[in-house]
Order: sequence, then C-alpha cells, then structure tokens
Amino acid sequence: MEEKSMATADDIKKLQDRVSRLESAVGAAIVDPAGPWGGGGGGVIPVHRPVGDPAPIDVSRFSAAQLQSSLHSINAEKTRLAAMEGLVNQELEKRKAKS
Amino acid sequence: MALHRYWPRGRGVNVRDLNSESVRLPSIDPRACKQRVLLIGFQDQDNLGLRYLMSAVNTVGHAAEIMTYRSDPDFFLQRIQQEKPDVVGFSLIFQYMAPEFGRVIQALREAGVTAHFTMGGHYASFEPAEILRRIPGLDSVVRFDGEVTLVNLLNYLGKGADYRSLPGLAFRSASGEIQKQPLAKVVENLDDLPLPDRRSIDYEGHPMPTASILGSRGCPWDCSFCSIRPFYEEQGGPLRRLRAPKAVVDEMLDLHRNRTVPIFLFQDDDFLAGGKNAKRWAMEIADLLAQSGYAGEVAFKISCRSDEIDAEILNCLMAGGLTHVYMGVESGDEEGLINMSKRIVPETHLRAGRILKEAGLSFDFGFMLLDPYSTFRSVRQNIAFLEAFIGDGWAVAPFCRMLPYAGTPIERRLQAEGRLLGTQFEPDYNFLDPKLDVFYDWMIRAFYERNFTNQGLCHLLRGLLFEAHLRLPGRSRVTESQRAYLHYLTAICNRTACYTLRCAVDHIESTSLEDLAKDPAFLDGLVAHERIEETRLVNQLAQYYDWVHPDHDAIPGPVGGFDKSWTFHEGDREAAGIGAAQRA
Repeated sequence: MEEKSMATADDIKKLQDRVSRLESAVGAAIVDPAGPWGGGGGGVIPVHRPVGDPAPIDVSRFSAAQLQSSLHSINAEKTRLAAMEGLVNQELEKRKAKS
Repeated sequence: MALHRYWPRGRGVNVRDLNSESVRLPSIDPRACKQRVLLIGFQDQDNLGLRYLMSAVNTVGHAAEIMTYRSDPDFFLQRIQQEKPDVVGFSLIFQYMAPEFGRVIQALREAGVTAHFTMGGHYASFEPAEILRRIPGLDSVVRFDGEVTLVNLLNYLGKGADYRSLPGLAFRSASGEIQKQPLAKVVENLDDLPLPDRRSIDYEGHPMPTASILGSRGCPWDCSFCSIRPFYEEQGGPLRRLRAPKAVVDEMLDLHRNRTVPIFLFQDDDFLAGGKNAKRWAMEIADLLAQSGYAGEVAFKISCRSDEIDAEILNCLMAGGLTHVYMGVESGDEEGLINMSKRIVPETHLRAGRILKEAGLSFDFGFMLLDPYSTFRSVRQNIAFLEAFIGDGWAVAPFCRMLPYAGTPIERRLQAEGRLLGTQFEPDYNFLDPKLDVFYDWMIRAFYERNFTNQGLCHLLRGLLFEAHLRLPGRSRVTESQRAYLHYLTAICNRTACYTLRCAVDHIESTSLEDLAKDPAFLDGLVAHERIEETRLVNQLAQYYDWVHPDHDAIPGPVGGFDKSWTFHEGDREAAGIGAAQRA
C-alpha cells in the first residue's frame, strides 16, 4: 500500500518536465507560494499571476450579483497588491538607505 | 471656520480644585466587629477599582476577598454559604449589565443569603435611585470613590449602628422610599490610600506578566460622550488628582522586582491631561524610571489625547519605557469632533499619528464612526480619515457608534431633544437620517466579528502589533521584517474594511428605504465579501504567529492570548457601541 501511494522517480521526472515547459511558457521560474518567512525556494514574492493569457470572457453571461461579487474580489486583490507594493517599497527604501 | 469659536468661553480644561475638604481613610471603629466582605466584579485588567477597595478594607482591619463576576448565581452562592460574608459588594462597570446583576442578586436572596448587599460603579453612582428601584435585593449603593464610604459602612454595620446617615450612601428607607445622603468628602491625596491589593493576581504564572496601575484619577476634558468628568465633577474635589511620581514608580518597581512584572498599563483616563503641570508630572515618572536602573526592563502604556502628543514628551516617556499609546481619536470629521466637544481638529490626529510612527511606537485608538448627529457626509469623511490615518497598517482600525451613557452631556442633549430611546440601562437613539439606521444595522452585521469579539481581527491585530513593537529588548522576539509583514496584513484589514464601508454608504445613500428593505442582496454580498477577506487574513495571521512563535512558548497565541493586557471580552460589546445590534 505504501509503495502505491508514493510517487515513483518516473512520476517526478514527468512533473519536472511539465514544470519546465510551463516555465519556458511564462518566461520565469515557478515556485511554491512562499510563507511569509520566505520558504518554498524563495525568489519571488507570492502574488497571484495567471499562467498564460486568460481566455476571452463574455461578461454579459454574468448576473448583476456575480458582476458585483467580481468587483469585490478585484478590489480585494487590488487592496492586497497595494499593501504588498507598500511593503516592497519600504524594504527597497531601507536597502537604499543602507547602501 | 476657526474651531475655537466652538469652545465654551470661560471654562478652563486645566486641572482645577473644587470646594471640598480632603479626608483620609477612616480607621476601624474599636467598637465594631470585624466585617467580612466579598467584592464581586469583572477582573479584566486587574480591576484596580475593586483592588483599591479591597486594600482599604483590609488595611483598616476588616477582611475583603475578591471574586470574578459570572452570571451564574450558584458560583457565588457556594462561596457565600461557605464563608458567610457580612457584606457583599457588587462592582457594576457596564450600565447594560445592571439587569443581569439584578438577577444574580435576586437569586442569592431567594437562596437565603442575608448579608448586606451594596453596589458601586459609575452608573450606580449617577443613578442610585434607579438601581435600588430595579434591584430590590440591594441594600445600599456606595456612590463615587468608594474607599471611605465602604469602610464607614463596615464600621457602622460592625457595631450594629444605623448606617443610613452615612455620607456617600443611597439606600431604601424603612418605608421603601429611596434616599440619597450628601456625598462623602474626597481623598484628595491619592497616596493616602493603600496600594491596590494584588495578592490574588497570578502575575508569576503568566509568560508576560502585565499589571494595571493608576497614576491619577479623573480627567478635566468635557467630551460629550464621556462620563468621567461628570463623575468627578459631581463628587467634588479636583477633576484630576495626581499621585506623587515617586510613589507611582516605587509601586511599579516593587511589582517588577517582587512580582516579575515587566509591562505596566496605566489606566489613567488621560495620562497627560492638565496642561504643563501634568506633562511635567508624566515626564518625572519617566525620568525616575530611567534613573532607576531598570530602563529597558520595564515598559508601559498610556492613554491620552492626540493633541497631547509631541516629540519632546514622547522622547522623555520612551526613555522611561513607554511602549504603546492609546489615543481617544473618536472622529476624523471636523463637525463630528465639534459635536463631541473634543476641541480638536482631524489634522491633529494625523499629526500625532505621524509622530508616533516616526518614533516607532505602536498605538491604538477609539473611533466612533457614527454619532447621533452623523450624516452620510460625515461617515464618508470618517472613512477617508481612517485610510489617511492608518491605511498603512500601523494600527488596526476599530469603529463603533456613540452610546449615550448615564451622566454624559450627550445623554442630556438627546433627552432635551426628545431623542433618547431605549431603556434606563440600555439607552439608545435613532439617527437623524433613517438611512443611517439601515447603515448601522448593516455595519453591525458585517463587522461584529471583526470589531467586537476576541476572535476578531481588531483584537488579534491589536495584541500582535503591541507585541511586535514591545520595547523590551530582552523579551521581544519580533524581527523588523516580521513587523513589516504584520503591518502589511493590518493594512489589508483596514483597507478592506474601508472599501466595504464605502460601498455600503454609496449604496444605501443612493437607494430608497423601500428598495433597501425589498432587496438586501447587495448589502448581503458586502457582508459575505468582508467575511471572506477576514477569513483569509485570520489564516495569514495564524501563519504569521507560527513564524514569530515556532515553539509557541512565549506569549500565548492570538486566540486566548493577550487577554491579560489587551482585552475585548464578549461582555464589552455594549460598551463598544453595538448596543442596538439586537434592537431590531
């Protein structure tokens, strides 16, 4: 049972190949979303980014409530991005001041 | 328009003396039997009021114990039957709790308890007749500062004398009529009172012992929503009494050396109120702490107004260990501040915020998004103010509405305008614009968890921000980048709330009352949005906590932690301004 639930070396190889293909498609390394302490391989700060261009969206299919809810979600992400921008800028300013 | 035009002429706000004779604590009457007293009240933040009473009673030779209040009478009955106290004293902190205290008292009487029942606290002091009428099991009310009156009461009861002539008491006469004696004289020198009895507080068992302390009593400011000045005005004596700085510092150092306490929360209504003299007094306390050799080993928090913050006093207080400031901001709208009689403009709040941030000090503040004279304009202004003040996440944005407590100018004003609603114990009002009532009811629905519970973001973030800025080098474990991340999360929390509030304001203002009643979908959607974002943030806060406390062995976690120092008990919700949440 244990062996069946574990990934084989072949499975890992397939996953690695897939990640490589995706990375070449988006032109950047893909890492796990890091915890706040910068784990998961580090490298980029975790912000939501779509992999590849989104498909066309027909907004007329959505109800007013769905559109409203979408607006709230968009605003939530904008809020998070603005706060993250502040955090990153603050750190950059600190680095500049040190150097 | 110049704000000073709205300042009452000829009414100073400095500490001033009223006509009274100072008294000292009476000694035990040699003819009196020693009385056993059980004092019952909330123990949040040490409840120094009860502990001063306990100490006064014990010092003169009677014997007092303290029990934490619970709504279950059996909890008290067991102990009362065991110890058979002669007197039970109830400390009523929150006006709205009076009916519940009444039920407990009635149950104790029905169970056969014959001890003398007395009660104290702000509401009981202002409205003793109402309390005695509504709680027939109560024998007396000790009005205003209670040390002298309570000891006198015990002396009289101890010798079987008629206590009903005692100053400071209200009681029911033999004919059932409620009578109030003239008030007792005030103990002007607070250092004449014995220090609060803290023996039953388990500081040593807490990973970050935190003690409350009082350097003064009273406040000279006359904010319309506050009952502190009316309390001290009515009882006579100075509007603010200051203890000797050395006595305050000695008490702190004793608690530090002998009881392991490193953090002190000054419970003074306004630590810096009273002009230059009061500032000199505060700086002397800080200087004495700095010179004591314990600088860096003790930290303290004060409460004050934003116009009392300046760099000079802040530097001095920080040298003595200041780590946190609570400010009574209350409103970010100029007209709102005038209505509150705050004698301040929003820019003063913003300036204080900048100074505190520059100094690296954490702060939090009280804020009433709504008051009886609110308009949609003032609410919008308040939201914009919150974004400017703490949109960066330096502090978490709390908000509630003003409640017209007993004894306050706003209560009298609403009464005069025929707008005072609710009950004696739960005073209420409607807004001038009925759509604001809709907004308020929605606000409670959307932000109850966030603003008024121990699991809510306000409570969690306040505690974590306090910890992140704690100026105790040996004990602080939060790094600079961890602190920055916490401010990032707080910024999201604040901005999300401001967005949600603004959406609701826009929608409610532009929709008829009829349509608002017919179609609540938009407002429901906003509540759902706020909850989703809060859930995300709480999860991130849990991650943050693990990051800072991988071993969970330092300060207890956000949930259930900090209650010792940064409390927001369920019972406080009415005090926080959500009394009308259930009215609909």
